[in-house]
Amino acid sequence: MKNLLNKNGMTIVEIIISLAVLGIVICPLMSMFITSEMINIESNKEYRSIQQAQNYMEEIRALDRLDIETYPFNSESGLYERTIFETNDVYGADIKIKPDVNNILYYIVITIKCNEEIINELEGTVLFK
Amino acid sequence: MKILINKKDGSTLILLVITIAVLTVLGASLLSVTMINLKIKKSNTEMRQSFYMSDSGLNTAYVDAYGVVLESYNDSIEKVRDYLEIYPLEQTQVENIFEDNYKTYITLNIKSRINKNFNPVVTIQNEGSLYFIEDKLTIEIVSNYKSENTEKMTACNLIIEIPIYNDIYEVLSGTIQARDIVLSKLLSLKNWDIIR
Repeated sequence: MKNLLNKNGMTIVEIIISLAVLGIVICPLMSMFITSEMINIESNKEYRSIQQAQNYMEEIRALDRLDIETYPFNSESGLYERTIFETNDVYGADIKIKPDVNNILYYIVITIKCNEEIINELEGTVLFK
Repeated sequence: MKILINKKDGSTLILLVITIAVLTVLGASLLSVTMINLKIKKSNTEMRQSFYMSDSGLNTAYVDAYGVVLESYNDSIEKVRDYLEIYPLEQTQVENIFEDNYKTYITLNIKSRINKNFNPVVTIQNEGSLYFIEDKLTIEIVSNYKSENTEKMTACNLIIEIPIYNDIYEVLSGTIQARDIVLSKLLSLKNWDIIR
């Protein structure tokens, strides 16, 4: 009974004012957290895409000669091409291999795509003797 | 003084200020950490890209050297034919003429073909000592690729060997593919290395 009669504590006016101030200030603060989350997603994408591109690149460079079944020749563009479709685990990729005049040096361009948007690119060459 | 501390009016405001300050510091530090993280990922991407571009420089040098070998081979065969027309009986000299001409042609032309000033910059390190030692010419090639923020350098030894004229003679009557196989065996890349 004694506790109920205790008059110490915050007034309703105090609480309303502080809630209002908190509400105003929290908006830009929250956007800060959201931005950092978005940046995090972006950097994760960057890392995963270049890792995937490098995997494809090393796969090609490890070959003794160009595997025409995996990289079929497109007579329209004059390039060996392979397309990897996007799934939950991997990004989509376009691999284009262009032979040099002597058919020794091959230029490789790997484009990594996410939702039809190019997110990363890796270029390189390989020698097939 | 005692009255000021013990007075409880306005304590909510102080609590509010402290809460906002903590949230701001937390948010700012989180933002800066994620920003740095993104920058690291970006430069990692750039490093990998420039590594492959730098390596391309070495591969291009190989192809250029192959071109020189092909030319010097054709040139030497011409020289030998001319010689045999004048002295048809001097078969023993043929090997020497072929070899000498092949060596001279390569050492004269290889520098201008391999050295490149555009990105990736390809340079020969042992330009002063390009001689055939024990029928082998070793060329130390360095390829340097510069991108916006990074620089990648790779190096390797390109070794050129001398074909034997009598062996080639059989190939001459064969196809172009057979010739290419023989010639590509004369070139090899060794001691591949990343400098930085």
